[in-house]
Amino acid sequence: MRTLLIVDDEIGITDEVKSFFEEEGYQVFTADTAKEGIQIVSQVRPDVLLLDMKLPDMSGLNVLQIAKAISPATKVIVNTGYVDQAIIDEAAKMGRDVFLQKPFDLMVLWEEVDKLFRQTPGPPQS
Amino acid sequence: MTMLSFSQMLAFIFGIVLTIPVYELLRRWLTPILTRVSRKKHADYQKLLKDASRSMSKIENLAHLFSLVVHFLTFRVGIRQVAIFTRRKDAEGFWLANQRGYEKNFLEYQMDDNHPLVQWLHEKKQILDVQLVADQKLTPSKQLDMRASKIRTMIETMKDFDAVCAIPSFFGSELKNILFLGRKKSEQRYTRDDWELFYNLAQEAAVAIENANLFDETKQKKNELKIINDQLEYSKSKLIKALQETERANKQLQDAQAQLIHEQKMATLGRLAASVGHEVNNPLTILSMNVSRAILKFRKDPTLKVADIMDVFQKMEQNISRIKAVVNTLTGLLKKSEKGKFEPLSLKLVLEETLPLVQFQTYLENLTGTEVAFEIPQSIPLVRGDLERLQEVFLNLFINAYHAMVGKRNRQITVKAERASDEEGFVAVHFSDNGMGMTEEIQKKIFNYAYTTKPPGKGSGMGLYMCKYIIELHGGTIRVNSTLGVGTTFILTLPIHAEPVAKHLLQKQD
Repeated sequence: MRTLLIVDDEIGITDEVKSFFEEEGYQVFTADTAKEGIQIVSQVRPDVLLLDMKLPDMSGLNVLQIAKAISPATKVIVNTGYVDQAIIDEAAKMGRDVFLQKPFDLMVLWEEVDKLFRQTPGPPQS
Repeated sequence: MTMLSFSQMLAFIFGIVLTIPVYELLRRWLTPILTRVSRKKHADYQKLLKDASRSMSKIENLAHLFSLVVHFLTFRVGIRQVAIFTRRKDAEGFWLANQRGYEKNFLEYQMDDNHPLVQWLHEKKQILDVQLVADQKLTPSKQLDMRASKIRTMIETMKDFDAVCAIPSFFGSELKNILFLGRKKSEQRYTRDDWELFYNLAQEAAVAIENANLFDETKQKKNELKIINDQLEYSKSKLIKALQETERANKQLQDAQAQLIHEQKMATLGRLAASVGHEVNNPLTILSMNVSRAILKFRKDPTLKVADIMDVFQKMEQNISRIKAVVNTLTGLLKKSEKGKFEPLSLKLVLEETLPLVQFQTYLENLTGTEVAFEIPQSIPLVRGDLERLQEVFLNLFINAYHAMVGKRNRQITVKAERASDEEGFVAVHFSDNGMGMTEEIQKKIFNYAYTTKPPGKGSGMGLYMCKYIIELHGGTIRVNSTLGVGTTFILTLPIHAEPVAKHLLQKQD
C-alpha cells in the first residue's frame, strides 16, 4: 500500500487530506509538529511526505534536510502559504521533489502524488 | 744802500701816489666781477640744492634715496668719501645706510645714542668740523661733558670715515640721520657756502627719508591688510562651504529619516503581506479541499443529498468566515496606514491584533512555544494614537522579547496595562519577558540609533530607536528595566484620549 505522511500544523488541512487519500486507498499518517513528523519519517519511511514549510517548532527546511537524510527514498512535496523566495530556493537546493503554493487543490495534490509513484527512481525533479 | 737820485725818489713817490687811485679803480672794476662770480657760485649751489631736493622728493624707495644722496655728494658736489647713518625704526642708535668712496665696507657700523658725536650733534644742531675737534676748539656745552675720552672717541669715529665733517639731519627736533663727508676731490677747502649747502641738503634729506619711511610703512601695512583680507575671504569661503556641507548633511539626515520611516513602513507592509500569505492561504486551502471533496462525493454517488454532506458546507462556511475576518483586519490596518493620524484606540484590541503578526514572524524563526499573557482591565481608557505606528512598536517589543528568550524554558511574555501612577492623563504599558536580560550598559544604549546586541546582519539596531521615536511622537515615554539573567520589562506611556466634553468638565471642577 502506498504510504503518505502529511506534516502541517493546520488541522483542517490534515483532516481533509487524510480523509481523501484514505478513500483512495492510501495509508495516511499525520503530524502537526516537526518533531512528530521526523519521528514518523524514521519509523514508517513513507513513500511520500507532504511537508508544510512553516511549522511551530522547527523550520520546514530542517525537517526536509533531516527527512532526506533519514529516508532518502521518500519523495517530498513541500508547500507553503507564504512566498519567501529564499526558502523556496533553499528547499530546491535541498532536493525537494515538488513545490506547491498554497492554496492548492486536492485534485492537484492527488495528481502530483500519483506522478511521483509513476516515476522511475532517479534523481530528484527540479 | 746807495743814495737814490732826486728823480728816482720822485718817481717812487709818484708811483705810490698813483697806485692808490689805480688800486681804487681796480677794486671798483674787479668787485662787481668777483661779486658776480661768487654770486654765480652761490646761485650754482642754490641750483644744486634745488636739483637734489627735487630728485629726492621723487624717490619713494628708502634705499634708493640714500643712494641718491651719496651719489649726489660724490659726483655732483665732488666729495671723495660720503657715508650716511640713519636711525632705524626698530632699533636704537644710528646704523650705516650707505657709503661711497671707501675701500672698506662698514656694513654693521653702528653709533649708539650715547656716542659723543651723536650727543654733540643733537645738542648743537650744527655741522661738526673735525679740525675743531682736533684743536680742542669745541664750543663749551652745558649738557655735554667734553672730557678727553669723549673727544678721542669722536676723533676716532671721524677718522674711521676719513671725515672732514659730520652733518646732522633733523626731522623736526629729532636727529634722524648723520652724514660724514670726506675731503673734496679737488682738495679745495670747504667754504661757508659749502657748509650751508650741506646743512640744508641734510635737512631736506631728513624730510625725504621720513617720507620714504612712511611710504614703506604704508606699503607694508597695505600688504598686511591684504593678507588679512585674503585670510578673511578664505575663512569666509570655508565657512560658506561648511554651511553648505551642514545643509547637505541635514538634508541627508532628513532623507535618511524619511527612508527609514519608509523602510519601516515597507517592512510592516511586508509583514502584513506575509500575514496575508499565511492567514488567508491556509483557510483557502481547506476551503478548496472542502469543495474538492464535496464534488468527488457527488461524482461517486450522484444520489447524494446536500444533507449528507452538510458537514462539508459547514466547514466551508467556517473557513470563509475566517478569511473574511483576516481580510477585514488587514484592510482596516492598511486603510489606517495611509493617513497616519491620531485617534482613540483600544489598547486591548491593538495588542490583540498585533499578536497574529508576531506569531507569524516567530514561526519563521522558530520562536514559538511562548506563553503570552495580557493583563488589560476593561477600565483602561482609550488611548490617543496612530494605529499603524503603535502596532509597529508593539510588534517590535514582542519580537525583541521572543529573541531574548531563545533557549529558555517556560518562556513567558506579559503585557500589563494600567493608569500611569506618576503621570496624570497617561496609560502605562509594561512589556515583560523572562529572557536573558540586559546589563546596565546595554540598558543605557538600547534605544540608540543603530545600536544592536545581535550579531552582524541579524539586527539593524533601529527597532527600539523607532519605538522611542514613535512613542515620543505620541507624547509618551519609553524606558527599560532589566535584570541580567532574569528578564526585561519595557515600560511605555501613552496619552489618554480625553473627550472634549470631559476635559471641559474637568476644567470647570478646577
